[in-house]
Amino acid sequence: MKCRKTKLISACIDGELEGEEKTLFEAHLRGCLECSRRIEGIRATRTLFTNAERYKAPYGFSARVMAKAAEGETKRFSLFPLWVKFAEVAVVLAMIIVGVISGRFLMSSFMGQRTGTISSSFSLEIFEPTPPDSLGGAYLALLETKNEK
Amino acid sequence: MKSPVQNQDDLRLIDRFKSGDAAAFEEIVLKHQDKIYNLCRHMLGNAHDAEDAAQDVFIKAYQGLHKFQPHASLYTWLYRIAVNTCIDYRRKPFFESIFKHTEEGKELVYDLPSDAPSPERLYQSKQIGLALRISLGKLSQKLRTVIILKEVEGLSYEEIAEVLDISLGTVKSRIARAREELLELMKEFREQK
Repeated sequence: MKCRKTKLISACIDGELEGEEKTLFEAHLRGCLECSRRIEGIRATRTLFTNAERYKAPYGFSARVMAKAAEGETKRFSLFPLWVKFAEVAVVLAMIIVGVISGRFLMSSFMGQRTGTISSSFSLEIFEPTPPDSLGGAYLALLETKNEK
Repeated sequence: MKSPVQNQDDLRLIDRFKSGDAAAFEEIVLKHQDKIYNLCRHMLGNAHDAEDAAQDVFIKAYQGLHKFQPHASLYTWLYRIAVNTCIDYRRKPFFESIFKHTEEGKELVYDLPSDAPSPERLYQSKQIGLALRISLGKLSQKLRTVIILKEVEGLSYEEIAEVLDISLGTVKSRIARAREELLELMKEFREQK
């Protein structure tokens, strides 16, 4: 079973225990194999952190940050005349609306002219008769000559 | 809660920045860049992500410094931004971050200590360091953050509480849990060997 005093180990390592609590826990450590092993283990792990490499910011880091910050400022500045952006969008929208309305107007006037001829446009009469010098024309002429005989 | 002491140099730099002196911000970067980069490096595990994240931290600071309240200390404020940035930044799992993908497959990314005395010791320290990093990666985000701030950055309980905006009691219990879990994970690593 896990010793109930193990919860004091971390506080002991960080020097958070004081007075009687500290004295009692230190006395406990001398008699409790589990707690003494754990505290040694945690201290050993802490040593690994102490030995861990401290990384320094790479060369030119601050210059890169300042360049990025300046870039951000420029972007923000370009957004400053916001009404210009709105005006651009408004002009594009107006052009689209004018285009749609004039398109519909032209379409309706064109349809008005064509109304009477729509049914005739489905007739085969719109095709040219077979030209006499074509293969089809020659075949029809041959048939007619045969019929006459 | 006792708040970490505000540094007078930092306050002067902030005042200069707020009155339009952009060069003051570069001084802030130069003063704090190593701490922030080191934290990002340990939180993210590789140099490339760490630099990107650390740059983002300072860009966010640049944009937010006008709203900075002097009752908080600048470095804990920067640490807070760094912790949040690293949490957001870690789209890929921690284990992925210690490997880079090459044509031959995954290659271990590990920075060799520059003053390593012999290949054998180098190998041992590399293995132990790697075990620690892998064990750290197995901790939950909350426990990993708190233990890095405590053991790597050397922050006090009060400073960690301010950085993470949590109570002192929570800091203490998270550190205790992180140490216990790390101990077990390191034990598992030794047993596997």
